[in-house]
Amino acid sequence: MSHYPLPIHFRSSFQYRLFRVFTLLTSLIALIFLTVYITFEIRNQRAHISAQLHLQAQHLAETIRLPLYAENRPVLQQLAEGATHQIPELRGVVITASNGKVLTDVRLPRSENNAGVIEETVEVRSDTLASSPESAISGGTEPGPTLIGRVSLKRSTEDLLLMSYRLVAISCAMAVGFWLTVSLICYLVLRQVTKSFNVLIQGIHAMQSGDLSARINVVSDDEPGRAANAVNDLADALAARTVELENANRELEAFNYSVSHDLRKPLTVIYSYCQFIQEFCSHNLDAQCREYLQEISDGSQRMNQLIGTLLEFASLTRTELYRCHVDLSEIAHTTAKGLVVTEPSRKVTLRIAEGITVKGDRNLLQVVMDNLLSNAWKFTSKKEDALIEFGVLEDEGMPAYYVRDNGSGFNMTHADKLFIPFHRLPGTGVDGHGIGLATVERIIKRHGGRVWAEGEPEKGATFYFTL
Amino acid sequence: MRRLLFVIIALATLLPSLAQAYDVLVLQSSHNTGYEQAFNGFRSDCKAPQRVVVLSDYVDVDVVRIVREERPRLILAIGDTALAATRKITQTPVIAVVALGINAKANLTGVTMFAPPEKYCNLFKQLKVHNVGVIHNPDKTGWYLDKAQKAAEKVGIKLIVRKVATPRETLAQLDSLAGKVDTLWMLPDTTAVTRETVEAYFRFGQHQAVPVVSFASSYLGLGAAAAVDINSTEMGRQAGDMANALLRGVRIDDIPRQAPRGTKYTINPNVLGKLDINDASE
Repeated sequence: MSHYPLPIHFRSSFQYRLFRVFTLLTSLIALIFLTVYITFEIRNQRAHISAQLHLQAQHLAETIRLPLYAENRPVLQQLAEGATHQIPELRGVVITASNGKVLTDVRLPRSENNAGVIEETVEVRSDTLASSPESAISGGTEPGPTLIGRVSLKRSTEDLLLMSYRLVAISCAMAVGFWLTVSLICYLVLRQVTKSFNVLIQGIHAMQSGDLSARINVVSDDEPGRAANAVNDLADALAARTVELENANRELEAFNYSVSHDLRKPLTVIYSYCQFIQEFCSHNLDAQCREYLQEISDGSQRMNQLIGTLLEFASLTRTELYRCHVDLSEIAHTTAKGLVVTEPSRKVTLRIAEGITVKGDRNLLQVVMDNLLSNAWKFTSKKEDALIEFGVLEDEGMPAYYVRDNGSGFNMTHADKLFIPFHRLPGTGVDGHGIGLATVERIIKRHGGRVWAEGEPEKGATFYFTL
Repeated sequence: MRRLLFVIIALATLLPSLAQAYDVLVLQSSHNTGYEQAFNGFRSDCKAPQRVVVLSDYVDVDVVRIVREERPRLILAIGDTALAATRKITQTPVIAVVALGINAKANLTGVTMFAPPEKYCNLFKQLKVHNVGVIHNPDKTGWYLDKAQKAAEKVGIKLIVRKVATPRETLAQLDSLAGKVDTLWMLPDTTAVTRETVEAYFRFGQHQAVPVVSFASSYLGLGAAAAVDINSTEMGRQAGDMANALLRGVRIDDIPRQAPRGTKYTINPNVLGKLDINDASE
C-alpha cells in the first residue's frame, strides 16, 4: 500500500470509465441504427422509384396502345420523345411490337457521374373492356387481353444518388447530435451519481496526506455514503489513537529530557570532585589510585557527552520546523572546512557540487550535513587518498542528495540497522555513540523525505536523502 | 342365298331411317347468353326433333361425319364458330343466326346481324346529324353499305365511307375522318372493328365530340352514345320460321337471308348529355 496519495487522473477515474463505456455504447448503437436506417431508406427510395417508373411505363403503354397496334412509328417516336421531356430522369424508351420488332428506340446520353440505370418493361395489351363484335352480339366474354407489344423505360438513378448523399449527411449530423446530447446527459448523470465517490476519495486523500481532522462530507446514503461514514469513524479512532500516542511520546520525551537533565547534576558533581582530587589531593594518592581517578573522570566526561547527545536527539522532535531556502552546498563547504581544521595533516579530496539549494529548516539540515560529512571524514581516516563527495541526482523523478566516500564502507546486509539509535555496526573501529545516522533519519522524516544508504566493505558508502 | 339377299336389302333400307331420328341438328358455338336466347327462340317456333351440339363443350367436333351418319334435314348454326363448322357441308341446308359471316352460299340462309339501314338512318335523324362516318371492309360488308347508302340518301344523310382491308388500317382511316363527320357509325364488320381497334372508335368520338352509334348495347358502357340492339330471341324465332318452311319442303333458294326483325334503340344518356344531344330514344 502506498503511503502517498495517488494523483487522480481524469482518465483513470470511475466517472471517466463509465462515461467512456456509455459514450462508446451510444455511438455504437447510433452507428447501427444509422446504417440500418440509411440502408432501409435507400432501398425504400429505390423501390419507390421502381414503382414510379413502372407506373410511368404503364401510363405510356396506355397512351401508345393504338399507335403501337397500327405500328405508327412517327407517332410512337413522338410519344417516346414526349415521355423523355416529361420525365427528365429517363435515359431511354424502347417500344417493340409483339413479335419483338423494335419500332422506336429513343436513347439519351447517360450522366457523367456513375449513377446506375433502372429499367422497367411492361406489356402493352388490348383494352380489357373492349370486346370483339362476336362477343358484343353474343354477350360472351373475351378470353383475355391480347398482347400488342412492349414498352421499356430506362431511368437514371442520379437523383437517387444525390438523395442518398443528402440522406447520409443529414442522418450523420442527426446521429452526431444525438450522440453528443446523450453523452452530455450521461456526463451530467454520472457526475451526480459519482459525486459521493469523489467526495469519498477526496476525503481519504486528505486523511492520507496527514490531515487527520479532515472528515468526508456524507452526501448520500448509498454504498459510498456508508463507506464515507465508516472511513470517518476510522479517522476518529485513528485521531484518538494518534493523540494518545503523541501524548505518550511527549511524556516519554519529557521523561527522557528530565532524566538526562537530572543525571547531569550528579555527574557534574562526580566530575568536579574528580578534578578537585586530581588538583589538590593527587600527592596523597599513589599511581594506581590516580589512574583509577582518571578513569572515573574520563567515564563521567563520556557520560556527559552521551547525555548531551541524548538531549540533542530528544530536542529534534520538540523543536518547530522553520522552512526556508537553504544552500546545502554552502553548508557542506563550511562543515568540510571545520573537519579539515581538526586534522590538517590528512589528505582528503573534497568534491562539493555547487548551487544545491533546498527548502527546509536550516539548523536541522546543518545537523544532517554535519553528521553525514563527519561520518565520511571518520570512515576515510585510514585511507591515503580519501575522497568525499556531495552532490545531487534524480531518483524516481525527485532530487536525491548524497554524500559519498571511499572509506571502510559497510556490508549491505546491515543496511537496515544503520539508522537504529545507538546501534553501531561491528568492526567499524571509530568513535561514536551510534546516534548520528538516527538523528539524520529523524530530521529527514520530519521534512517528509527519505534516507537510505548503499555501501561495500572497504570500498566506501553513499548516503542518499530526499526532502 | 335368297335369305341373305333379303337381309342386306332390309338393312340398306331400314338403317338410314333408324339413324335419322331427328330433323334439325343444332350447332351452338358456346353457352353465351345471346346464343342461348336465340336457341330458345328457335325452339319456341320450331318443334321438329332436334339434336343440340354445343361446340365449346368438345375439343373437336366432326360435324361433317355427324351429318353424313345422322342425316339431319337441316342444320341450325348459332354463332360464327358453329357457322364455320358447317363450311364443308354443301348438301344439307344451313340456317345461321347470331353470326356475322353469313355470306352468299347455296345451302346457306339465316338472319343477319345487320339491322335494316333505315333503323340507323332513323336514329341519325333523331340525333340530328348529317355527315356519318363509316369504316368497313367491302368484302365483308359491302352489300350492306350499298343498302345503307340508298337508305341514307332517302333521308338526306351523307355517308362518308372509309375502306379498310386490315384492322391496322382502321386507325389511320379514323384519323382521316377527323373534322369531317358529326357522327360515327360502327358496323359489325370484323375487319373494321376488332378488340384492338374498338377503343379507337370511342376515343375518336371523345376527341371529336361526336356520338358513336354502335350495333350492340354492350358498347354503350365503353362510350357509344347509342346502339341498335338486336333481340336474339326474336332472331331465334325468325330462324324457327325458316326451319319450319324448309321442313315443309320449301327450297332454300326461296328463303333468302333476312335482316333481324326485333331491334330496339338503346342509348347512353350520360354520353349524350356530354355531347349536348337530347334524349334520342323518344
